Amino acid sequence: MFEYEFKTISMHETQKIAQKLGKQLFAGDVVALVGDLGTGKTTFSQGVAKIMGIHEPISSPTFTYINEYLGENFRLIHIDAYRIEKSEVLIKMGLSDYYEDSIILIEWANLVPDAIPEEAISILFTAGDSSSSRTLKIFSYRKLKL
Amino acid sequence: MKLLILDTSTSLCGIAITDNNTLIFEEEFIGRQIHIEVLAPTIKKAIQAHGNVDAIALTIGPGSFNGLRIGLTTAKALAFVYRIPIIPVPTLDALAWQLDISNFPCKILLYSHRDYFHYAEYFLEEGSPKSLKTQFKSASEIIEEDDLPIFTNEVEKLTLLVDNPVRMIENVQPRISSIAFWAYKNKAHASTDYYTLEPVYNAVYVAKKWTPPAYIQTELSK
Repeated sequence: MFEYEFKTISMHETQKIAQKLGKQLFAGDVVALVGDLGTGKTTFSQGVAKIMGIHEPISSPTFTYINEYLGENFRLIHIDAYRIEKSEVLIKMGLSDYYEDSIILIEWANLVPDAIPEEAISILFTAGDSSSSRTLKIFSYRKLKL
Repeated sequence: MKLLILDTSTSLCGIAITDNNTLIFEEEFIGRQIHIEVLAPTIKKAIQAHGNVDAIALTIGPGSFNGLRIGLTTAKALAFVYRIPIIPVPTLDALAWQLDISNFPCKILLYSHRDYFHYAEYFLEEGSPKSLKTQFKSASEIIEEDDLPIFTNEVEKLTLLVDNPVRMIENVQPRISSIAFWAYKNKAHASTDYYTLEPVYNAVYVAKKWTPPAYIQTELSK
């Protein structure tokens, strides 16, 4: 397991890391985002979307569960599991159908662990001392250039 | 012998007719999820223009999961109706048969998903490319195995996924002509057993479940 840790002091910095990671994602990659409300999961997703060439505004799909966006090379599937709560619900929605041509970001991944494949890239977001500082801990089964 | 050639194993979708190894019809499409849209109408166009065929040759895998299923299902339906055989062509062989003999031994990699590739080691036997077992591994695992030159349909992805590959990595794309050539040379592989012919997926899609890394679990339980 490869581990990376970053301390960011602004949303902009968090998005920069997201963009670096986003460049190295391929179809079939699942990124499990874990962290409390307001710790940067959606900000991070916005960064990934931007580098994938998605220009629509990305908001947290808390009520729609799953949002699909068409990027330049891949489709981006943005999921918020906060209200899904159960792995089975997500599995029945056909999550695995997206593996062949999509990159999947799952916010609140810890609530639906059984719907997520073993080799996901996991990211823990925690709030820092000041209101805009955050810590990102990234765990990846493959080496990333961050 | 007139052959209908289909290739749906990658994001390329190729339809061709050859008559005794001469190409008389060829159309190629590229894009995501286009195979299902273009395959049947293009086959119709090809057969209307050039008449019935004696056999269907298609890439049987490895390759895109949905692509392979679309190609083989279409081929089976046609073969069943016209009572003609299907010649299944291994995708990696179709790539290998395009290379100059000076390139062997080498490895041929076909991109699957994430950091995974289908691959096999190829060498020459009596002037023709022969392969060892087809495998399925991550880019870094394949690179670490040996120093053989590599030919792949996704050079850019492979180089992005590995640090310092330090060896020759070159591009090779599926081509109708080599699928046709393979099929002519291996007519003996023709099958009319439509019921048991399956795509060669090579990869086993066993979804093992994710558990948050220990560090995250500890943080969450706080």
